[in-house]
Amino acid sequence: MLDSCERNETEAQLSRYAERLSVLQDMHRAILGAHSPEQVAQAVLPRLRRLVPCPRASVTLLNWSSDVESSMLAIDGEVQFPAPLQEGQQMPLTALPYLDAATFRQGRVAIVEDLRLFADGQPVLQGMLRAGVYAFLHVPLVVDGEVIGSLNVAADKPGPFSQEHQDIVDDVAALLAVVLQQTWLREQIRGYAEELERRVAERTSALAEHQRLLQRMIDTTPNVLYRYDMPDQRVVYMSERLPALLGYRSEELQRFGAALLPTLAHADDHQPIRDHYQRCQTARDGEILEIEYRFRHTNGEWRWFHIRETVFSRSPDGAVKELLGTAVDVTERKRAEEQLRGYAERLTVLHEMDQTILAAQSPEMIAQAAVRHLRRLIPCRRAGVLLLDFEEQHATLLAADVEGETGLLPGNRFPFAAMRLSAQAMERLRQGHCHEVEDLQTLSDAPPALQVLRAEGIRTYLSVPLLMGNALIGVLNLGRDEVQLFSSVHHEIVQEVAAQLAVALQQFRYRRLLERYRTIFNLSPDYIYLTNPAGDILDANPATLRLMQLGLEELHLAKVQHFFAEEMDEVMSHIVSQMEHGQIVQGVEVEGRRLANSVSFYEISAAPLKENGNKLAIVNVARDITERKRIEAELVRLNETLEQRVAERTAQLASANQSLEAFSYSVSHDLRAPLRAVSGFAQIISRRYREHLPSEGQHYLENIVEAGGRMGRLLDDLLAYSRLGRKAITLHPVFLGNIMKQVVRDLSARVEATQALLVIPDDLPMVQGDPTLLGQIFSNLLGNALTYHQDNQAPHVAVRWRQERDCVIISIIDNGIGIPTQYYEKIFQVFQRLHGDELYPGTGIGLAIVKKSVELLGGRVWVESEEGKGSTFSVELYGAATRAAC
Amino acid sequence: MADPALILLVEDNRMDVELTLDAFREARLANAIHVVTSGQEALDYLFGVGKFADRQTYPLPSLVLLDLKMPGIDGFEVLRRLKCEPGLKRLPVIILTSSKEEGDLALGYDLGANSYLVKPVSFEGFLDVVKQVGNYWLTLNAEPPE
Repeated sequence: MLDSCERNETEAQLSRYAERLSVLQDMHRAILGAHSPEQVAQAVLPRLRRLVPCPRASVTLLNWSSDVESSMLAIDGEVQFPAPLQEGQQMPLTALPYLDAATFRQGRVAIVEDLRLFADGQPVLQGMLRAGVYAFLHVPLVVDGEVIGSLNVAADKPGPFSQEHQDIVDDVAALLAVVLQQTWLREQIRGYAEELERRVAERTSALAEHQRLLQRMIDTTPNVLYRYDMPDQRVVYMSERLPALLGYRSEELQRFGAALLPTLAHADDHQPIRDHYQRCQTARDGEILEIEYRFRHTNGEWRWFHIRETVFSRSPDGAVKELLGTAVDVTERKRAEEQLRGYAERLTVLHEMDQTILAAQSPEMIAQAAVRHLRRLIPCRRAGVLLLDFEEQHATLLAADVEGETGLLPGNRFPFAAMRLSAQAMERLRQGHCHEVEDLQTLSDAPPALQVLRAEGIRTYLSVPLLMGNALIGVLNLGRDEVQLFSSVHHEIVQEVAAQLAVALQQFRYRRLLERYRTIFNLSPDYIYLTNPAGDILDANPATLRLMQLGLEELHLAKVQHFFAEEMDEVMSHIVSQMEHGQIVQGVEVEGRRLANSVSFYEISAAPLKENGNKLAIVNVARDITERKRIEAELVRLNETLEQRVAERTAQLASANQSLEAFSYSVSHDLRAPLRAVSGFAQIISRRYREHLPSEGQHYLENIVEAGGRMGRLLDDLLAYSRLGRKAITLHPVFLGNIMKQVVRDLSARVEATQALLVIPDDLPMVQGDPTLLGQIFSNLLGNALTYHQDNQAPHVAVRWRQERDCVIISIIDNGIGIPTQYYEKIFQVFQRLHGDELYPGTGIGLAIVKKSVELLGGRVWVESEEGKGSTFSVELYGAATRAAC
Repeated sequence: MADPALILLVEDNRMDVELTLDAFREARLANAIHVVTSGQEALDYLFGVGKFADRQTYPLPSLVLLDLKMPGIDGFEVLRRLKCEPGLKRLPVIILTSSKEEGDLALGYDLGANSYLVKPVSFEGFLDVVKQVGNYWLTLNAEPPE
């Protein structure tokens, strides 16, 4: 029989075990669902508190390094501790003075039964006490003999923990330690796995990247990589680069097989290639053999490759099996080298050409030097220089350098038409562009000049303009036998030579021009000299040097002011101010400095000349005008005396004229009285006593009467003429119509007698005149027209008029006997008669009166006539609108 | 007008006088013509001076035919004096001269000549002039009042 108490005790113990088991099972389950140390601790602590009732349980982790630190992993309980006793917080182990770290680390449980005994000066413990905790159990968490943390259980009253509770806490601590270690291990493993995966991925991608890089390097590097099978003489591998470099597809190149090198390598390189592979046969491992040769690109271009090869594998007998090689396209480098060589050669030739041109004595020699050297730089059949003369529309072959015979030689001239250069082509040349014909043979409709060259076998023909400034002066031509356009390098060279040639030709022209002007300068009798604005003489022609009695070496001492009178200072400043405005000065007269009482004069012209960087120099030309001045003065003097003499003479003449007129007036007047007596009494006798005279007496008496009548008319006309000289004339507007009417009225008897036809216009104009003079003019002219008519026909007289500018021309046109040309002037002189008085009565004074009258009116009179047909007398007078000229 | 009017002919040229008188006769003009042969004599006559003081014998003429060109006192002078004299200034004076000078003409008219006749060279012309003068001045023309 069991003691019931004992049994009860046992039963209670059993039930506690059962509960303990169930809680622990539950704990195990919860632990299985946890994934982290925190979750593990969280799963453990509440379940522990179900087995060991306590206000608080917690798990701290310990770090034994340096200062021992504990960090709170998880807490479960009703009481709240102040910091640093909360979750996630750290605290040095020394904050718990009752806990001996060293023994705890060895795995010994730490128990404090009354915190109060240690709380003095310990804030952490005081905080615990305030929370109502008086005792503490700390069980170390041991993993692999190492204390990693502690499971802490608090009690709300002082006193020891029961053994059972201690056992439970021990068990749970052991479990927790294992689980935590597992959890940590798991986490660690997962971390490792992740790390591993990450590293693998990284490595993989790095490798992939590396691979890509390598491939790209292989594909993009100028170096072609390949393997070459020596025995088979074929390429067994090649990087993509090689086909691309040669313009083939990869498989196309592969297909060549052993024929690759013989087919694609330059023939000149075959032997060196053979030599190279001979050397490769005996190459040591690691030795690098090099060679350069050319491959032909599919576009026909030759590409240079630099080859480096090394032994890659050997056959069992040790002979070289495969070569590993790199090939680099060095065409550009080769080209550059070639270009460099070309440039050097070009420089040398151009330099030689310059030397030759400098020494050349004529444009022909210059051009010849240019084409000769040009052909050294550009191999071709012919090179020529054609000069273009746009005024004459002619081209001249200035020079030609030709291989073999040619029909176009220097000196040949032909019209532009023979070149048949279109205006467009000409304009392009003018703009500096070249003109190139790829093949003359295929050129339809080739101009004659090119036909000659074509016949001589020239195929490709290049023309490069020769430009002087903007002016096209000629072309430089190149012709070659092959059909191949000239390369850009050749174009460059020709243009360079053309430019140099143009400059040389221009320089030659300038040189010639300079010589010409120098000659003028040297020979000029005028004094030509160059000064600065201050008047210092910088240069002077021989004439000036002679004048100044200076040698060239003394020039710098001379100033213009030394050679001219004082006024030169003023003249010089005038010249300088004009020069500064860019104007020239012409014909300034300056007196020369007086030397030994001789006076000299100079006429100075000057023009600005910018030289030596905008410094003003003045070109002066002084001409000795001393002699001219003397002659001028002489002339002035002569002129003055002449005028005086003319005035004197005029006065003399006027007075002579006056006395002559007075004389002729009084003569005719005084003659009139005796004449009247002679005439009068003769008539009286004739009237009254005629019948008392014998017939002879009668006849003589009639002679007296007739002569008297003629003398009377003569006297009348003479008087009228002499009166004109004394008449004071005032011009005023006069109706010509009225004058003409009066004249016709006066002549009416004669008109009737001669049965004349007079045609006078109604619209005769007004003229500036004097009625008396106008009457005399027209009565004489009309009278003459009635008098000098042909025997067998009645006179027809027409008056016409016309306006000419401010004058009026009145013409009297008759159908009379006319006047021989030689008398056109003479008939207007006094007493000039063409006919005897018997035939045509007249005094020979009428037309003289007309002429004098017309002249007094400021007009003129003239005659046009044809013998036997009639005469036209024309009188030009000022129209009435015109202010009188006299 | 019972008696034909008296004409005073002032003319220094004897032959012109004769021609004039002949022409008057030829023209059958019955006028009495008194001839003076110089300017001075003409003035003496007209002003009744000296031997011409007796107006009975030398009455004032109805018309003066005056030559211009005369030695000494010429026709213009005679005319000028005449026209200044109130008793004589209305006396018709005809200048009868060889001169066709404009100046002479102008001066003659300016001095108060009543007419200006140019002596023609021919006798027929002279005759014509005389006839016209007779007709016009001695017949048609009304004499100025005394």
